[in-house]
Amino acid sequence: MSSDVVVRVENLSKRYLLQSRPIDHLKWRVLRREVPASISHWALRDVSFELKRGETLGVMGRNGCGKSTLLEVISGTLTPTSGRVEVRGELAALLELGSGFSPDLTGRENVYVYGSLLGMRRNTINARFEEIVDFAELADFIDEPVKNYSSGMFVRLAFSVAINSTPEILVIDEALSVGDEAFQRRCFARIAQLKEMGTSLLFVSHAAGTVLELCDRALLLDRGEVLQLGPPADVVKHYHRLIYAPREEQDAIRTQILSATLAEPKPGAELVRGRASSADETISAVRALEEEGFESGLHSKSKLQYVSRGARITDYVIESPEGREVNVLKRGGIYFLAFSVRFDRDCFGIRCGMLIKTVVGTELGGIVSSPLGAGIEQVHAGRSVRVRLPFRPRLTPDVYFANVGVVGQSDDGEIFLHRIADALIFRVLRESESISTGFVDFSSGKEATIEDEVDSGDLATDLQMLRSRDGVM
Amino acid sequence: MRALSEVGAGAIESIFEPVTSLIRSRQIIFYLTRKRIVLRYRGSILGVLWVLISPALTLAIYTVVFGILLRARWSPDETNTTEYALLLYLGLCVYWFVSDCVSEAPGLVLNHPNYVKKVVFPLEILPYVSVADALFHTVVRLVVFVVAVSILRGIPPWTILLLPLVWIPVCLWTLALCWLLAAAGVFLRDLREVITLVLVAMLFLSPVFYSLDQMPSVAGTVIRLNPIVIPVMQVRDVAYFGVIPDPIVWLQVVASSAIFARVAYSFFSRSRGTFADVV
Repeated sequence: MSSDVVVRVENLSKRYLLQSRPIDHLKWRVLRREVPASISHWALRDVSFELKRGETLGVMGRNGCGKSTLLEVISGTLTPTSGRVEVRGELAALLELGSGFSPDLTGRENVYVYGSLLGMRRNTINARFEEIVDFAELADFIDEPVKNYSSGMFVRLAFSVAINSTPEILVIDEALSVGDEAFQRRCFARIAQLKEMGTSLLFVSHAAGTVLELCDRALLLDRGEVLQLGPPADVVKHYHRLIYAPREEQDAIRTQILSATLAEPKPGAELVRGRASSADETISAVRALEEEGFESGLHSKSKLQYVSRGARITDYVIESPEGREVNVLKRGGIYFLAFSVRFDRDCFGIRCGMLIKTVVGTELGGIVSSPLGAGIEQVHAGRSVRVRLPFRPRLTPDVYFANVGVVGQSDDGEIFLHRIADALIFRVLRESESISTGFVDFSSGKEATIEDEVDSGDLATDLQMLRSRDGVM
Repeated sequence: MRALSEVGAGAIESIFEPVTSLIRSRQIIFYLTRKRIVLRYRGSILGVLWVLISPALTLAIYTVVFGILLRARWSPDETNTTEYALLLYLGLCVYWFVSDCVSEAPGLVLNHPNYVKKVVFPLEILPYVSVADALFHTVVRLVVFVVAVSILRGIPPWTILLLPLVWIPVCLWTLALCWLLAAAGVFLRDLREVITLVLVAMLFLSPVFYSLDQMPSVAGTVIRLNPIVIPVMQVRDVAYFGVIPDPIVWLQVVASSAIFARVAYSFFSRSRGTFADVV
């Protein structure tokens, strides 16, 4: 194993046996009998990859695709059915937060028990105890039994112990999605710090943002198979295509992703050629593939129709200025969100609007057809209108949802006559040299400047500070 | 730094693996043992004092019931009212130690699904935790015994200092039973009920309540197959009668217990790969 590889997974497969009694397992194992195929479920099939020192690898995939199984096998809690896993270095796994905790023990006692499970010596725990408690923000509750903790406190403490055990390899299963925003930020900062110290990180996440932010590479798993291993942005794109695809199109999309990945350099070849060059190639290849347009696989599956109160929205689409239906948009381009409204009764003070949200539902902003009080005065029952709301998606590459709605005046003030949540889904095109982070694109088109200050002088340090801050954000 | 390890392929184990894993995980064993002891009494008013109170009361009850009410005597020519109770108590110390560990052994892995699936946990240390917990209680029970003997019969013989030596083989084969039962219990859920019955038989088919001399010789032979027979008699010899056990017998027992423990450990570590699929 080459010296900078800390985890090597080779042709790993894991089979679960459904509806089997414990004694059957013993029988099959001892007698080396063939296991009936009817009860076999392959959670992992022929998975191979490598994790290098200091690398962060994100594992993405739909629910039940084998992500957790993969991490459990690597951590050593599950035995693979075939294939092998080699681990070099101290590995700490957070498979289920707080699962090493005993509810009846106090926070302090649990830190010691859990810390020693993670391979920390007593002296080390003593030395880092303050740090662990501070990081978890539990100084006031550390001598309470953890069964009295809120789930957030529980998780913060578990995470804090794990992250302060300074493992060489840290395996985290969907744990980063816990805790409040501030805690998450600090976790990210701490992870960035660990990365600098050479810790390798393997984690499962559904959050595209987290993967894009933290990972050097990402792995897309589906039905136990590796669909793709490559640059996070690429994997996130395919992941979104996969999860928003209607059931009947999923197979086609899988094949597409697989063939697209085949065209890219294989992980083996990558080792020979070095990482930088292969990454460049992949990005340029994808850039050629990407243009504004319509992706049939991209469908909103969380559409929610509210009860109609006099009007009904139909035929909602996003159009390009030329009138083409699109759902893959260019950052900063002009588009129209168009929909028809049919009125079932006389309505007054009509305004139409839309609202753009992130995948997790954060409302980013919306547009209405006219200011409050300046809507269409009256629309008679039976009439239909077509609304076109121009908008400019100043958004970073990701997937977004749009709500549509129509409001009118009633005796109680303005009410929703009809609305559809998550009516539309669209993706913003990826760019190779984006300087925007987060969701909203604040870039101005002007270049940033960094100049020597007259008195201070050490430009290199400033640059480094800037860079590290960027990594954390 | 952990050496390159392979999951799945059967890595070759050192013959001293049970000992190295004990040393490697001594900290976890210590915490888990303390946790068990503390948790058992946490919340009760007298707290950890119960560790002391329950054996003391037990011994007092035995003395009253067997010595005074039933007038039970170890040997027909015995006149002392307390001897039977003290000897019974010593025998029970051995039995309690074994049964505390063995009765929970079938559920040892089964009842800790988190340790199997959700944390990287050295499962093979669970029997050490059981044994350490039982040892702690045994030490307290024996301290109670020493105090009681000193009050009722005077200073115990010096041979009582050999008690730890007598306990070594008991620990070894109890550990062995724990490894075997803990692994088997994962697959055979009926084990728990079976073990409960076996333990009852083990108690009555041993010289805990009576002296072996009182048995017909055939029954005596059968009873000698019971693993707690030798330790029960040895413990009485060193702690009460002041007799030094035969060193040859002791060595034989230690050697065979150690081999048994090593084999049981192998059995456990071989089957642990399947635990996560079943638990």
